[in-house]
Amino acid sequence: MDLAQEKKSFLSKFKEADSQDSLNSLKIEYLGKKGILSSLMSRLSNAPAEKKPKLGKSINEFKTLIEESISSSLEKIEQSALDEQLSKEAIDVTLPLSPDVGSYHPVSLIAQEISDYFKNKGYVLREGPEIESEYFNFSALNIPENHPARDMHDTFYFEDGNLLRTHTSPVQIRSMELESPPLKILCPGKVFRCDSDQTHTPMFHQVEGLVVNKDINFAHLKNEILEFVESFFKDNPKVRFRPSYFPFTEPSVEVDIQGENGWLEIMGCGMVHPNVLKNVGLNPEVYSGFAFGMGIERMTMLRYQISDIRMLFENDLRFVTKG
Amino acid sequence: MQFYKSDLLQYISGSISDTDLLEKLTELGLEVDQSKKEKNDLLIKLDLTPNRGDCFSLIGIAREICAVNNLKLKLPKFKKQQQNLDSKKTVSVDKRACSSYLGQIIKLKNKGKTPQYIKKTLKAADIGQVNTIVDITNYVMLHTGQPLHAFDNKKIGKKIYVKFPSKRTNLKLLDGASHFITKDFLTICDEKRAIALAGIMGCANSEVDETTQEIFLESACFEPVSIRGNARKLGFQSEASLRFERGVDKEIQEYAIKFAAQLYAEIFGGDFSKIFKQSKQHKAKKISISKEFIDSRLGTEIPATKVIKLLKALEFRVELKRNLMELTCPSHRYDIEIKEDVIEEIARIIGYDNLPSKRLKLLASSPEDTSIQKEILSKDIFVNAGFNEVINYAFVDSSFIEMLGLNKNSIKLANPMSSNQDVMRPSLIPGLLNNFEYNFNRGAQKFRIFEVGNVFTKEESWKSLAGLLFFDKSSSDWSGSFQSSFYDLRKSLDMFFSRLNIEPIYNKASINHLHPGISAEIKIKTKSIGNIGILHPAIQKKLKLPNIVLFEINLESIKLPIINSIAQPPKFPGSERDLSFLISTEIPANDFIKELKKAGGTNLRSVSLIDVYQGKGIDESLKSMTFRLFWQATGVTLEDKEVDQFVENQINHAAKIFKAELRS
Repeated sequence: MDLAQEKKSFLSKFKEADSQDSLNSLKIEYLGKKGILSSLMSRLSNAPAEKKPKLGKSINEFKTLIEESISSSLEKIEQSALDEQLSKEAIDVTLPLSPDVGSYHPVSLIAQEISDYFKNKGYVLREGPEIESEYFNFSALNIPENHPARDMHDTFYFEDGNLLRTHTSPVQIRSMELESPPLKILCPGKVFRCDSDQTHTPMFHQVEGLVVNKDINFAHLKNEILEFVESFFKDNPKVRFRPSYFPFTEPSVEVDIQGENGWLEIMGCGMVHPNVLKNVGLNPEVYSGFAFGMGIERMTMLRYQISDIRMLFENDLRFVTKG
Repeated sequence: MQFYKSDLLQYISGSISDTDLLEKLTELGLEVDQSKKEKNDLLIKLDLTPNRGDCFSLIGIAREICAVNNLKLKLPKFKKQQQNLDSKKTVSVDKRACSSYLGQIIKLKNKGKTPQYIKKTLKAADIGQVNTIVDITNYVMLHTGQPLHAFDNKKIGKKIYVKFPSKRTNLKLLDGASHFITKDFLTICDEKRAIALAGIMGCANSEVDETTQEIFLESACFEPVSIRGNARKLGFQSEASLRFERGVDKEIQEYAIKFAAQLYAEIFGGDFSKIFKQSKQHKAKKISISKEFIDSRLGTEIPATKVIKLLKALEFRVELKRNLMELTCPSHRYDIEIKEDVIEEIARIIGYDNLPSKRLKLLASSPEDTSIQKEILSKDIFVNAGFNEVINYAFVDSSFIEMLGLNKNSIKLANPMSSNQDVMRPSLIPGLLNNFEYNFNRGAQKFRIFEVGNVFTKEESWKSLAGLLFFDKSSSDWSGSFQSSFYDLRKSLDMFFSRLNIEPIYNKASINHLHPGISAEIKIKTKSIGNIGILHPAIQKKLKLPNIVLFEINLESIKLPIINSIAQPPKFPGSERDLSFLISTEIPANDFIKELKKAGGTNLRSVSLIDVYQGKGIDESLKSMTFRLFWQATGVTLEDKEVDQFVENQINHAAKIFKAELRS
């Protein structure tokens, strides 16, 4: 049998082979140990020496043809089997899921944002008790008994004379008593006043900042507030500083920002009153400081356009999870 | 303080536009609360701060506007009325409580009617008309800030005393009500009885009315400390007490009484007695301040000439002594006491917005409170675990606390807003249950909520963390992923502890508000820090609530993790063995695992429970537990026979301690 005939016969058999099995047996028939190729090779040794190279080359070409044909066919078959299997495995990727998404309360989010902002500016967070004494909540802050300024705070009292702090300022006193200047602290926390309407709840959150050192001045205070407002209110609103009165600061300032319908009050601040510094044993001729404080609910309401503060404490999950 | 612009303009020479006036008032710290155009006038309502009692008057407000706008203040002069009435009155005053007391007897000749301009001023201020005698006193008060009081002179004696009562008495005041007066109320008395509560309100016994023909007009300066708090004790504020509490100009009494006398002369016609007067010499306050101090506190240089000019505009007397400015404060600015008050005046008149700002370069480093870090970390972990944060009021209903059987040592508020907020919460659980109820009634079916906040008992207060888990199985979705068993909540809690590098111990315990069989006390080492469990079925029934899982732990008992080094994982292969034991159902898995670990040698890396089975094929008193144990050594490959030895030790140990049998 000559090579050409073998080739022809292979091609016709190969055409017929359409399965993995038939291709594998075809491979054995031709390329196996006792296969056609090896018998062709053994015949080559008997061929005349001058014909050997040419014949050898032809046999090798035939071998390559067989190998490549069969392996490419096998690959195709495997590919289509895989394709079939994969299409069977397909799922509906659109089935609805309800992931358990956690959420921070909007007030926490805003408190955190404000705390983070001031932490990055080098403030250290400080906490204090929510049940306070008259001294820390009022007297130490230069609010004497019966002073009309106490009318600004509708205070919750306990039978033993202690009270629920009406602001986070007692933390400033406690911090100044414990640490010496330079002091740069931020005190977030809950505060309480007996009041409830659309803009008041008997409990709310404040964050207060305090800086005490030598040579702290009003210009520093203004800059600190202006930079904060610029960071918190993204549309860079106009800011107004106007005189006000807090017994624990002098001068005292109320800060407003320009809203769509006029000025909106956002926080109070001022230079620490010398009596407050004296109360914690600091000499006001040597040290000065500034303090600022804001209601976190107020900032939350401005950020999320909430009109009734009481919504924040109803804890309706359709509401408090959306911050 | 509420008034018409036209009334204010009487005192200002020069003009000022409506918008300019309103803006200037707020910039001065006299915040405009409301303003309303009315006919040809502007009605203005100011929200005054407690330090500016002087601006509870038209003259006071006009002064401010003049100072900031460089205008001249126009103060009318009042003539002394001819004193042709020869009536006697002696006045005796407690000078600690009353620095100045002026009185004048006025015999009213004709009937008088309140003129329109007075009615308008009173109406603007929201002060009701009483009768013409009283209307005049109120009118003068609104202009000068000096409260006046008119007694019916026929109803009072010849001697007037300003003193504190020697005993507690009952007084019928002009509001028609009887009030109980303690010894710290300053009173005006005649020979026999109290005729007025000084600086607050007159007594009914000396009241003027339409028939009154002779009045004793009082213009006094009561010290704020002797008035403060007293009106509040009675439960009301009067126009007089509002002003006296804040302070009244110590030098205005004579001006006010002359002002009023002129009006009585004009409206009624009258005969006037001399002015009976008792007063203490008023010493003007002096403050020394340097330009350097002003500059250092404002953070900018302000020329001395500018400072002097604006202080003079505010009616301070300024004398220069070397590098100090010696200031004499005007008598109406009793709120100015120290240098810093003067700095505020300077800043106020320049305008806060016109002062510069400067970046502060200051780093103060001290460590942050760990309790804040713990709170932040707890919130992060639970939010990441799919929990929704809630924030509840710190006061709760005491009867709810009692019903839940929570700590009975809660602290009562002396003045709660309502009876369902009468005690400080001793636990966060009541709040979470309220949140559950509120949302469940509005159709919520999945709950994973938590709160971090302070809780209180009589002895102490601490920061607490609590969570609630519930899932309405009827609303299960196709994936069935949300589960709400005891173990589901414990898993979240375990994750929390594991993030904090803490190994908690759960011990079966009986806790009032929890199911006695499905609840545990949580301990760290030997310290109890909280509990977890299903809400007690009896409470569920009472509140008509479903099966809710709850936990609460004390955050103060938890330490933040300190990680000093991270060990390299072992490189040599380990060995794994599965062991099934038959154990009494009474034995908690935790105890069993503890003993397995004890007997497993130092190279035992993990013990995991891969199966628990109770039921068919096993005695009722027994459960089958299958553990997967894993050993690995750091420097060598463990040989099988070593591991076999550990396993044998464990089997023997379990048999000895728990009578546990190996299940074949």
